[in-house]
Amino acid sequence: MKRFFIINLLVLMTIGWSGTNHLPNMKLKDLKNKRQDLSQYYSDGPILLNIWNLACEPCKKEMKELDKLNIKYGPQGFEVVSINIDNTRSMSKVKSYVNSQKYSFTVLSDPKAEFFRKMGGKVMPFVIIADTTGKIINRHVGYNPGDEKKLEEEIVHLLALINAAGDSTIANPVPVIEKPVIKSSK
Amino acid sequence: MITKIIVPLSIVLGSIFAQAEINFSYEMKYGDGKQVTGTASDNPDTLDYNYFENLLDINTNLGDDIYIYTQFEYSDLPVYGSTADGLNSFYLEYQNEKFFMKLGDQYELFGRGMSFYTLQNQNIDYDNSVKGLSFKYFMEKNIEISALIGKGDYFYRSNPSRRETDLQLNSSVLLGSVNYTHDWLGYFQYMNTKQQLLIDPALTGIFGNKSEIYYDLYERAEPGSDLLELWVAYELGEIVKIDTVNITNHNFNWNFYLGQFDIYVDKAWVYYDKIFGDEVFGSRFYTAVYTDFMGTGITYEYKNYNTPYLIKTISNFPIVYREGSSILASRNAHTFNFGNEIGHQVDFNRQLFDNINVLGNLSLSHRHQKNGMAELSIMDFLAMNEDSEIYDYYPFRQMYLEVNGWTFSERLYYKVGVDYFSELNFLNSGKNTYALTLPTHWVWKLSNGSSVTTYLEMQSKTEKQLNPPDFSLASEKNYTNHYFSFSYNHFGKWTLTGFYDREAVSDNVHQWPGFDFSYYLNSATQISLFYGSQKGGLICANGICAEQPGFEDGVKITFRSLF
Repeated sequence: MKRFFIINLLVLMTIGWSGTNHLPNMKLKDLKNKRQDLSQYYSDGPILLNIWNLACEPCKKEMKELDKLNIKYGPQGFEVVSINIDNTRSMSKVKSYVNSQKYSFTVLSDPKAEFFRKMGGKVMPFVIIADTTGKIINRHVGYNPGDEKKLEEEIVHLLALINAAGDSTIANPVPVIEKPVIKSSK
Repeated sequence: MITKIIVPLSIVLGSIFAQAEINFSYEMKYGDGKQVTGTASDNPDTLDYNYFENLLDINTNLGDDIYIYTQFEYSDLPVYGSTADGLNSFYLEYQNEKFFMKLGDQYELFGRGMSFYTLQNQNIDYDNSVKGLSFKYFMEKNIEISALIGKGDYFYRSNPSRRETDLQLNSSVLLGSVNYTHDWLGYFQYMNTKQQLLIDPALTGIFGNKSEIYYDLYERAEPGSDLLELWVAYELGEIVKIDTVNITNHNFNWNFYLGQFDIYVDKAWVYYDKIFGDEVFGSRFYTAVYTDFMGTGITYEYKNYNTPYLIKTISNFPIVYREGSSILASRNAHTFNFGNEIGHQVDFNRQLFDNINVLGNLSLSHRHQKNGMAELSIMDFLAMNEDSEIYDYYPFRQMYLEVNGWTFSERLYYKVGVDYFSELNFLNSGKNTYALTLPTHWVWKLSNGSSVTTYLEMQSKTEKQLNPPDFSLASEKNYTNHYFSFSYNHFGKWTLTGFYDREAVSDNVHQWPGFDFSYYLNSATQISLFYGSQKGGLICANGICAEQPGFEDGVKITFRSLF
C-alpha cells in the first residue's frame, strides 16, 4: 500500500503539476442568501479572497487590514472578497459580526468549505490573490500583524503589471506605482 | 482495487485532455512524547504518545466542468484516530449551467443540517460522509431540485477522550430536496430523507456502554420479552441479530425578512424506530433572528431538539451556544445532547468610536421535562441555583463579554474578556462545573513589520460532586489555571513562541512549558518545531489557531505546504 501511495503521488506530480491554477467556477451565497458567481468579482480587476471563520482571531485582524486595502485600491479595479466558512454551529452570528465591523468588501458564505478545499486550504487565515482571468498569483497561509505589507506589495505589483499590459478592463488605470503605501504607525 | 483504478485513470484522462490544473496540499505531523491519561493534575498518569501523520490533498480541475478531489493519508498513528494507509477520501464533480453531479464521498449540507450535513474534520478524526451519488438540477433561476443516495460505515467513540474509534454502524440514505427563492417571500426548502441504520450490538456497544440508549433498553427488557432474550444471548457470547432502524425525516426551512428582522426557521419531523423497539415520533426545531438595533447587531437563536435514543449520524445541527476562541475557556465544553435539548442564545456586536468592539453572549440550555420532573421556568435556568429539582434538566449556562480594538495609532491590539461557565451535570458526568475565565490577548506592531503577540489568561474553576440521594456535597475541587504565551514574529521569516500553562488543584500543581519555532519557506509553506509540553485544547501560534491534543515532554514537527 505504501508503494501504491508513493507511485500515485509521483504520477500525479509528474503529469499534473503545471504550476498554473485558476479560481474554480463556483457560485456562493452572499449574506442575503443570493447566489453570486465568483467570476463577477475579478472581471474588472485583480481580486484578493480571504477565507475565515468567527473562531479565527488572526483572520479578524487580517480582515481589518484587508478592508484598508480594498478602500485604497478599489478605485483601481482591485477588490477584496471575503469567504466565511462558519458551519451550522455558528453561521447565524456571522451577519451580526460583519455588519458591526462595517467592512467595505463583499462577504460570501461557504458553510461546506468547498472553495477552501478546492484551493487546498487546511488552516486559516487563508488568502488567495488572482488576476483578471482568475489565474492564481499567490496563496498565503496564516497571518501575523505586519504581513499586510507583503500583501500590499503583491497587489501593487499586480496592478502595475496589469496596467503595463494595457488591460482596458481596469476602471481607472494607475500611471505609475512605485512602492506600497501602507505606512507603519509610529 | 477500485481506488487503484479510479485515481490513475482520472489523472490519465486529465492529462489526455490537457486541461488539468492540479494543486496539492501536504501536511505532515510528527510527535514523540507522552500523553496524560488523567484529566487533572491530581491524576497525572502518562502513556507514551507518538504519531506520524501524512495527509496529501490533490485537487484536480479538468476545464470548468470537472473537479476531482482525492485525499491520501499515510499515518501510523495519526494525531487522533486509527492507522491509515491509502486513499482517505475521493469524489468527482461535474457541473454545467443547469446541472451539478457528485460521485464518491458526499460532503453535503442541506438547510442547517437538521436532516443532512456530512463533513470531515481531521483534527478530531470525524467523518460522517456516505459514499454515493448526488445531483442538483437548476430548473429556473430560483428553483433547485436535489437528490442524494449513499451508504457508508459511521465510526464513533464511546468516550470522546479515546484516541481511536471503538464503535461503528452502517448507514444508508436516500434524500430528495426542492428549494425555491422569491424576492419578497424569501428562501424555502423542503427535503425528505429516508435513512436506515444497521445496529449490530457487538459493534455499537448498546448492551455494554452505560449510555441513555442502554438505560432505555434496560427499562424495556422486561421478563419474557424478546429484548431480554437477545440481551442474554449477547451476554453469553452468541451471535445476536442486527437491528434495522428506519428513519424518515421531513424537513422544512424558511429564510425571510420582516422589516428590519432577518428570520430563519427550520423544522424537522422525524419518525424513527427505537433500537429493538417500535417507531416513535420526534422533532427538531431551530430558529434564528437577526436585527440591527441602533448600530448593535443582535442575534437570537432558539433550539428544541427532541429525538431521544436516536444515534446521530448524517446530521449536524446548530449548537446554539458560543464556542469561544479563548484557550482556557474552550476547555469547558458543554455536554451537548443532540437528542434532547432546549436552548436559547443571545449574541450582540457593537462598534464604538470606530475602533472599539464590544461583543457579548448569553447561552443557556436544558433537557425536556419528563414525567416526574418539576416544572421550571426560564428564570430558573438563568439563575442556575443548586436546587434538587433542576438536576434532572442537566442545565447549562454561559455568559461572555469582550472588548477589543486597536489603539496607540493602531500599534497595540487588545482583547479583554470575561467568561462564566456553569453546568449542573453531576447525574451524567459526576460533577457540576463552574468556571470564571479572564482571557486577554495583546499584540504590539513593531515599525519594521515585525510583531509581538501575547495571550494571558486566568481561570478559576470549581467542580462539585454530590451525593445522589440528598444532593449533599460529596467533594469539591478548586482549580486555578493560568495560560501565557509570548510570540515574536520576524516579518515574513520566522516566529518564536514560548508557552506556559499551569494548573493548580489543592496542593498539586502541573505545568506545561513549551517552545515553538516556525520558519516560513514561502507564503504557503511552513515548518514548525515544538519542544516541551502542551495541555490539550485550542492553541494559537504562528498566526494560526488549531485544536491540539495533550502532549507531555517531547518533540513535535509540523510541516504544511501548498504547491
